[in-house]
Amino acid sequence: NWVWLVYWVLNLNPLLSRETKTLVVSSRRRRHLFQFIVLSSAPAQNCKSPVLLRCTASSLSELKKTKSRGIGSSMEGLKLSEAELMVYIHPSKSRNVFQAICRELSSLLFQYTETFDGVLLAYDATVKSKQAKILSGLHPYFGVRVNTRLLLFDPKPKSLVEGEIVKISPESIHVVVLGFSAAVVTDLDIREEFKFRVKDGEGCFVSRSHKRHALKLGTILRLQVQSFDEEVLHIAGSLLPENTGCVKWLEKHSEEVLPTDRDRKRRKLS
Amino acid sequence: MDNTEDSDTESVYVVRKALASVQNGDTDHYTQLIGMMYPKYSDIDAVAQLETLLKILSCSVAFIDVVHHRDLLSNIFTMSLWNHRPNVMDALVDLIISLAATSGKYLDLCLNMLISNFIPPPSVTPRKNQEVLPRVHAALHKISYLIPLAPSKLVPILAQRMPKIHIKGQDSLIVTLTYVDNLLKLENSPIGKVVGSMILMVVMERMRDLDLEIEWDDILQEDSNRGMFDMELEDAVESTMNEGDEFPVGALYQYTSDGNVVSELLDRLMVLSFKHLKSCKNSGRLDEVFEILFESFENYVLNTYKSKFSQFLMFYACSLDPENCGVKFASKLLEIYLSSNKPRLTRMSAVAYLASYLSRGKFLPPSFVASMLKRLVDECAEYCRTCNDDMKPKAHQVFYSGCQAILYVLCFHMRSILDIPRFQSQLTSLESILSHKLNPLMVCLPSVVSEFLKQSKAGGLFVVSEAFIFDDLQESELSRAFGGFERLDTFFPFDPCLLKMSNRE
Repeated sequence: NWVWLVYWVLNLNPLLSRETKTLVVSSRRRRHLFQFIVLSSAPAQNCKSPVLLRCTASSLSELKKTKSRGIGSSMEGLKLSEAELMVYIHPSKSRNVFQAICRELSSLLFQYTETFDGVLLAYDATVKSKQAKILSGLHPYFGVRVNTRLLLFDPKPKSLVEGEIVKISPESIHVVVLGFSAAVVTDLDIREEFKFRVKDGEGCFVSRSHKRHALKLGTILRLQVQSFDEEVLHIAGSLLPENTGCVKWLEKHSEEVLPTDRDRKRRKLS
Repeated sequence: MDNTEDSDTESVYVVRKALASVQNGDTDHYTQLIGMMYPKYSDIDAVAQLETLLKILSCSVAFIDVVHHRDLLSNIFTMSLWNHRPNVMDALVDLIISLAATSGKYLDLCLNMLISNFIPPPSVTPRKNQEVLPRVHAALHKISYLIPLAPSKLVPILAQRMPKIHIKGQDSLIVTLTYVDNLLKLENSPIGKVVGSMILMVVMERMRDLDLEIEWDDILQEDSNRGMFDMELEDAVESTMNEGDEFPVGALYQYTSDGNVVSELLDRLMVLSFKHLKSCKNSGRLDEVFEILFESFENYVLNTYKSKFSQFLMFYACSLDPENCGVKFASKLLEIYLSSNKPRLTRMSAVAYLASYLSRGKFLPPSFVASMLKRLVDECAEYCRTCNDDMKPKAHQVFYSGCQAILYVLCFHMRSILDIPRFQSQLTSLESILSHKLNPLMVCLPSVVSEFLKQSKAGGLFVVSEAFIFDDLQESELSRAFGGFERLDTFFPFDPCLLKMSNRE
């Protein structure tokens, strides 16, 4: 599951920045349409000219929830987009057009773009035709048609996201989602079930009804998105819904519940 | 125990109530809170009250509204760690971290507030330095841990907050030095992965700007033929004609009214940067730092008219790691010279730097110098082969600057080149260049040419006709012509550094 791979890679480096070296992550699963994701991030420093992007999104495909028990199974904020872009390139970059295209797309990484309607996490670009239209004007930019597949992060309100807890205090839980987005759950949004306790000198939230359900530093937390600040990529989250909390515990718990559901259904049918 | 807990919760309740009441129009308690934020330094009770208030505010960030509590927020963001005791500093830093982590709208303001503490107020004790600055660094790291994208927000703030270059007096020295010191510390830290390249660019740019403030003309007037081929300011070199002449170092500090301060600042900045490079070398990071350093050198210093001292940063970096960085620097300069895409002035400047570097860099292995020389010679020879022109200094500036570079390097390394016969054979094309119609020996700087000829005659390299004796001329019409407006014919950037402290390093 390459989504899991991307997620895993991003979470390895908590101080993820646009300066990380180019990584190529490949998936060999036949189910998936794509074979390569290029996580590249050379910021467009040398490209001093603004490049216009016009996105004509031809199709959007939502990620289906996988049945795997791995991380990312309920990451609802991720989506895959196919987009046909027109990338305008300064004539000085004509020697290596593909590099210029990558530079321009990389400059959009980890930023919210309205055209894509999401935060660009990864992209895969292919130049279909070597023909490019030259713009008339002071600087003869030329526009190259690029077909791209974009991995976008767009947490809508009421969707669920997961992240690692990095700070706990009686008033708030701070989480980092996908290694780059900071999320906060304030005490007003933590359901009554959880009580703040100090264990071994560290703070944690423990459920009153299930003693094993604890939220402490390093726990992977599933939370519901209340709002998403597009400028700083900040999520305001909530732990009010019942299906939020520690992911490990929730999945174990749901497995235990499943057999009884099946029994109930069998009884109903018969 | 219970009592304090109760009074704590009560205080929290009071503060939160005061914050909430503003929305209803009742600002009395709120104004009281704001009044508590300016205690006298000596009033221990008031200071303790402030500390408690800040701690409560850290827990009540969710109750702070950006519109209704504008006054409170602006007070918080204009507080300076330098004015307070350590316990208040801790509480304030915690509050800033909470504000930054809880809501994205405060992030820039928080980072701005922290960075402003890199600039010390006048007359600060070293102890205070030790109290404030580590706390700022710790806060920045904590925020970066909680908000991974914060370092990229830091980049423009660090650049904007750089102290202005024209602050008068001794204060500018300490302020700029402290700021740059902290920038370099950030570069060395995990945050440096994001902000590092910007920091090095900013530092290089500042050094170049200070460099430009120092006038060159006053020094050149004192300069006659002495010192040009001296290896060190005080020592005499092996085979030059002028030996032991003292360079008028004192004159450097007296030409502008506050020239003293500017040169001292540049000197100290360079020493600071040297220390930083040394620590990079010790932690194995010099390679990656070198790449950015060279880029900033190329952007800021290479094309600067007669840069005097900032290039020594590169020189020092190369001396720390001759096999790697030393070699890379020369190769990159040579690449710039050889690439026909680059502008003419950049190529001429690059080859002038290369020549001076190869000559003055005692840490470079002779074999490497010879290989660089060979490539220069090959390039010039190729140019001669394809060129059928007479001596025209203005038309063939790049060629003449290349030739002068070759002659200059040979002035310093004649002996080592001649000692190894393998190298001598590499220079056979040199003769064809020198005897070509373009006549570089007439066009290049006379002092360089005469020195070269003297040495080559002594070394038996070639024998040249009498026409090339110049009677101690510093320059001629022709050399001025090829050097152009920028006088690149008399540009030897790595001549001994005239700044006291940097020279010692």
